[in-house]
Amino acid sequence: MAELALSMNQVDFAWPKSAPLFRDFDFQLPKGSITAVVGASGCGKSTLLHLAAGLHEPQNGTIQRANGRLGMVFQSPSLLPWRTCLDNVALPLELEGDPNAKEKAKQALAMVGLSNAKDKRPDALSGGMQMRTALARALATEPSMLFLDEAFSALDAITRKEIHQEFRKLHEQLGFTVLLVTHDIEEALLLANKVEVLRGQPAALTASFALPATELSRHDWKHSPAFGSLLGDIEAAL
Amino acid sequence: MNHLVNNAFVKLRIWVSPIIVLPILAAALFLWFWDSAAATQPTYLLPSPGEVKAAYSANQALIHESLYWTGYASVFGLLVSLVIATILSILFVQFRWMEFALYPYAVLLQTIPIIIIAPMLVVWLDYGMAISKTTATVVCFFPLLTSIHMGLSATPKEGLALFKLHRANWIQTFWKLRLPYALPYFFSGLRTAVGLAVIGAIVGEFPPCSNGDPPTLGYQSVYASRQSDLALAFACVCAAAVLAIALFFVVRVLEKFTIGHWHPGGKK
Repeated sequence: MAELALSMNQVDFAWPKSAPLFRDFDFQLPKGSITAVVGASGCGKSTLLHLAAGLHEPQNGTIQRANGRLGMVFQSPSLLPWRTCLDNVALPLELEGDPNAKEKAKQALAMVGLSNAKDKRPDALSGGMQMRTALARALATEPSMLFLDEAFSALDAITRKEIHQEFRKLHEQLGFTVLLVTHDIEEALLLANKVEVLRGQPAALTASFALPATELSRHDWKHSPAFGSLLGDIEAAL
Repeated sequence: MNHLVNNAFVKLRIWVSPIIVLPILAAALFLWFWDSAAATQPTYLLPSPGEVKAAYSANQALIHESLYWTGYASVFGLLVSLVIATILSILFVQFRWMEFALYPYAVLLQTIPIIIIAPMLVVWLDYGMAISKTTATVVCFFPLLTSIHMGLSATPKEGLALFKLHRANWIQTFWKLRLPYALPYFFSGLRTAVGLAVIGAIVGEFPPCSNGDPPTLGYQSVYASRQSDLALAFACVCAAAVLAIALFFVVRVLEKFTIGHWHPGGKK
């Protein structure tokens, strides 16, 4: 059995004065994998991500994470507008008291191809560059686990395609574990090794799709019969 | 030569820009209207701008000293309000029960007509600057509290989540996240509060003062009105307006230097 990066066991969670969102919920995340959780809006995807990242505490049950740092990319880049690109990337390292924050931030910016923009403020960057900066900020701490909360859904199609390719490359290089929540099934199929379908109230993982390891290029995979078949199956499961 | 001509054009463009020209035009129009209206009225009802200038020249030393003391009371009240409003706003954001318990009383404080309170303050605080400092503090407290409180509550959820994910402590979260996001709201409240501080100080100066109290714009304008010296009263009012504009300008400069590089409001 694969080593686990995250294990949620019999988790209960409800917002105050609301019906339970999760009851006896189990979820595992194998180390080094990219797992996508897809579901309709409001089904609890983001809450699941926040529980996994330790941003919310469950009312019952246990959540165990493997040792290592965590990184997160939100739907909006959430860059601090008064900080430069470099200072934004260095922020998590500063918070953790890393004396080499700036140096590591420069390396993270280089990884996403934004070395030239390090002195620019967020309002001088395009949407794609802002999202790359947010990705660099998440990677700067060398996380063992990365959480993506609809991270690329607000980008235009061309920028999204570029970022998907860069993200896959970075994952191959660095080997971190990824939990991606999205409502975009195509994105899930293009990035993940495994797609889980979340639905119902309380929410449950109702279907799981392991994606075949493929040597096909992104373009060929997207236009292959297997891709179309999986897309149809996931849509039916939703 | 071309360089010199270009520079001259740039300077000309700055001087003819609407930001400079329109307020000058508005002031000229106002003065013309005032002068025309004053020409049809006796001086004890409406002095002309020229008569106000003459009253200012005749009482220059008195007006300048009054301006200094009224300015002092306004700035004192503003700073005390700022400190109290900031501390309360932080407590309100940190402890919601405190907001529920105290916010209604902050609203109540705003509804109290300060002009009625000022004579009572003579009884409680005796004559002198303490009254004008208190009224200035009370009057500008509420706009500062609401703006700072709103600013500290306006931190985006994603930012708070990011700081929590990286185990930031309270001071880091406040200093690096909440406070910068609150600054535009803070300056918006401060811009309102500076004008109110001058009004509050002047209202606090209306009650008669005892011998030895420093001269103030509020007292001088009331005294001059009672003597039917409306030209001097107008000169005091103009001095108060200059004080409020100067304080507003100081706030704008501070705003520009603090948040001008990233917030659109600070760039204007």
